[in-house]
Amino acid sequence: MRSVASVDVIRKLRSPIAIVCQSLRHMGLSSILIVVQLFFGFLSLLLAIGLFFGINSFANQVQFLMPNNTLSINVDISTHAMDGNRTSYRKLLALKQKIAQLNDVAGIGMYDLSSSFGFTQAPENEVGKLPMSQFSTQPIALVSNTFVQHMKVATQGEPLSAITHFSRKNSKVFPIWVGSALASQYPLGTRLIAMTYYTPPVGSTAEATVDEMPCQVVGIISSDAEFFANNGANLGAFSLQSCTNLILGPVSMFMWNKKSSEANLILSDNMQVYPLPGKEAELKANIYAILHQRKMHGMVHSVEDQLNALAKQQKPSIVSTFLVAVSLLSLSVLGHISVLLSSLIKRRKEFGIRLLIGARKASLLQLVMAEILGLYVLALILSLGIMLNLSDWLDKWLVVINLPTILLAVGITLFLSLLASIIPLRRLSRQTTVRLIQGE
Amino acid sequence: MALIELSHVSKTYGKGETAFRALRDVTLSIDQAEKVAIIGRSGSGKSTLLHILAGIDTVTDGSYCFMGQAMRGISQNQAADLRNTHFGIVVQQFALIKEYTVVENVELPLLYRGVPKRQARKKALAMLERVGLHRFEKRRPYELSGGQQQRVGIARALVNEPEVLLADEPTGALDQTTAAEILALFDEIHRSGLCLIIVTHDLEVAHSCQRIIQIADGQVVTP
Repeated sequence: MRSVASVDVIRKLRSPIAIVCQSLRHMGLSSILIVVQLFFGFLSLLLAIGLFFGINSFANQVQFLMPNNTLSINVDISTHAMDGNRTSYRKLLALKQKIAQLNDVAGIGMYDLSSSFGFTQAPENEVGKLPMSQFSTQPIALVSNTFVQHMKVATQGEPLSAITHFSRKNSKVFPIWVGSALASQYPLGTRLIAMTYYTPPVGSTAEATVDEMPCQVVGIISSDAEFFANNGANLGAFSLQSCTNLILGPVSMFMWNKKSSEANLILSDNMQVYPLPGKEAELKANIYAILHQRKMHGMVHSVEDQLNALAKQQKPSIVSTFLVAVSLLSLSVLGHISVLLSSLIKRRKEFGIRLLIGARKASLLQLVMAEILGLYVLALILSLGIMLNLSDWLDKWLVVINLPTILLAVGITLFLSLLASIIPLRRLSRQTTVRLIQGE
Repeated sequence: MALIELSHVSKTYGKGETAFRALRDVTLSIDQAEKVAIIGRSGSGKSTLLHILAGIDTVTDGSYCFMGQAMRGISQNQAADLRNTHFGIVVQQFALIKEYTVVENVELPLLYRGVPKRQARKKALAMLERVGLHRFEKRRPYELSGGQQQRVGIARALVNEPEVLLADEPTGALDQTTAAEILALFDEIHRSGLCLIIVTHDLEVAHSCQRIIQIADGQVVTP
């Protein structure tokens, strides 16, 4: 007997598009129904997962926010009128023009670190120990619309003073004055609390009320306690340890590298806290005393309250979205099974013909499987296209459409889709060749 | 050695009281390049015999050897490969995939055999030319007449250059003139050295063959 390669037509199909076309050709209306079911199933699941992750990541990332004009901290914090390097500042302004063209940029904050407290005002013992490169770089903070939206959602639309900090694990990340960027979204003179990795020298001031930065920095909290502690400096920085249960938004940062004059986009990463040894309790007490005082006057909400309110506000959305997703997915699975079953019944004659001319049963199953996958990919492309186009809008509702969300939704729907195909395929494989050929 | 040898073949469907014996103790042999008609009334067992010959169905008792190889106990995959390479099958209702064009239908057995797409297309077109349908390759089966569809079926059956062409009532759905054309085509195919087995109840078709095997109640009446 001549040897026969156990190949199927699907191997001969040159592209996934051909598989999709073949599915549409053979399955006709059934294929459209399957695509629609998969489309809605995937869409709802992606929405539900996106919302779930969005709210969770928001709650995890947003770390610090307070109502506007309510808090000033005087303990170990100094202010310094920014009279820094105007040339550098102008360069930054030019860069700002470029940055403003980027999508999702709500505000830009900048601070000439080298000419202010970071370099010129830093005590001698610090200057010698910090890498010079750090001091010659101009940091710029970008605040994304997403961040601003998150902040507004969390504070129920109230203006706020929000300060953030970024991990120093990445050595290229410099102190970023995100607060000033955020402030540009609020009325002139909005007072901010700034957090930085740098501890400003005692006696300096930190007003950032320059032309393009209509904000006033009234306080600085530094997390660079580890460095200063290790180097014998104790400038009384607040430890971020006392604020870890606060909220921080996902912020896109932009950093201008002076050496290459190229811009690099840096995203905030995990919070890393370096408490100042021996100062935690005192500083924590100070912070909490102020917070407590403000809360007593009804001006400051504790962050726990904020988070609880947020969770409470969003819980029904998450639950209802998941319920809708589960319902649609269940319907999708049931529909998938019934549509596929009816399609396979209609195609018995075709399968019989294929068997008659020498197809193996396994190759028929492969064929159907490939067609289902083709339809799945089609549904996936359609739903992803829509979701990605809506991602900006969805982002306002804290729905995060990112790679992990998409992969999870793809994984679940693909699994369910294949699972739903098992019953019809098993039924097909149990048919005898004679019955299939006879179209029974 | 005969190309096809059946020895005391029986085929029973079902079990117990509902059991139905479609074939009883059939013994026959068919040589290469022979043109044989299997005739009989409806339900006589001739289609069952054809299915067994093509490896679509299995025997319950007895033995079936094709080209000296025992067919009993072969796997479904082996049977499929056998159908693909050694048998061309033509049926009454043409059995064409309606979503495929004429040429796609004809090239399908080649693709199942693993022939590269381009080569398969070339061979399919050549085969269509042989059956006089080279200008119809892009049409769908439903755009053709019954006779043309049967020619497509024959082209598909022959495209893999089989040893045996099995035809189940090949003219049953055709008018007399078209049937005559198809029979003429069969004659031409047979002259090329192919073994031709035609299952029919049409005596005119049967008499165009070298040998007639008559089946009645599952038994061979005229071996």
